[in-house]
Amino acid sequence: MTMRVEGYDFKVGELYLFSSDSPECLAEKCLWGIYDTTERGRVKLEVATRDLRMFTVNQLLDRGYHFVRPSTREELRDFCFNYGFFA
Amino acid sequence: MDRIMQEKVCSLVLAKILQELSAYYCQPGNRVYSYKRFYESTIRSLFNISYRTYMRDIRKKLPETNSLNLVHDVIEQYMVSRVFQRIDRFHFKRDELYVFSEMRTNDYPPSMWLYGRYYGTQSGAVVVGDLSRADGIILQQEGPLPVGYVYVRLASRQELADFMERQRNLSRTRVRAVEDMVLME
Repeated sequence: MTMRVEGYDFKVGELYLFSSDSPECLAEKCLWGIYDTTERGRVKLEVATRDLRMFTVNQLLDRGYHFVRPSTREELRDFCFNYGFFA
Repeated sequence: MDRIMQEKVCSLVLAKILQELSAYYCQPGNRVYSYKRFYESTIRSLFNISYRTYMRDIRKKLPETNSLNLVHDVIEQYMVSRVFQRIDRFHFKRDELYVFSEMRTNDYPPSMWLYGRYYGTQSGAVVVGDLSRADGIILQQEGPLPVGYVYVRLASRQELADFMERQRNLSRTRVRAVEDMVLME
């Protein structure tokens, strides 16, 4: 279920999909990231990717991202294995 | 069946048991002589299982008391155990994470299960990658499934998340090792 990023109850270590404009959070247009912490009101992602190939670590979520939803099992699987391969 | 679904089914079964117990107690003079009898009729009708299966997989684990927590655990174990299938009849998907077991039932402790990604089948042997134990110890990067592991099921979302967590920890360890090497140089 998609929610607003502000005030969302994130779980550390969980994978989320973020979208700037689409409440549907379509996987292919989203930023995927593992929630780490919130610093001064900004979400910090331990690992993040847009294409499941290039991964960045310790990335602060851009303020432009307004929508978030938890990943599905299939998305978690794809992230998990691609991160294992390409990181 | 994922964890949330399992929990829902467990709750439904327990609710049904409670309902039947309450209805029975409402009759004047009724006393419960065997809680197992109540559990049996409800569980068998809800799961549609034979008497033989019930006796073999469930009955001996059920408590004689009205401890619904214990009943919950037994039902949960049964649900997990019955989704294991024989490897030779199983349709694998490449790169998917599976749980392998030597036994179908959950009497076999989960600590003895193996987690691995399906890569393919070679000469009848299942080839898996990132094969690891439940405690996270990686047994092999890629190779045939150890002999004896003849039952399999799809890993749940939680198991996938745990698997990912172990990968992340490994990744952190690797980064730290590289940093230490750079510092030493």
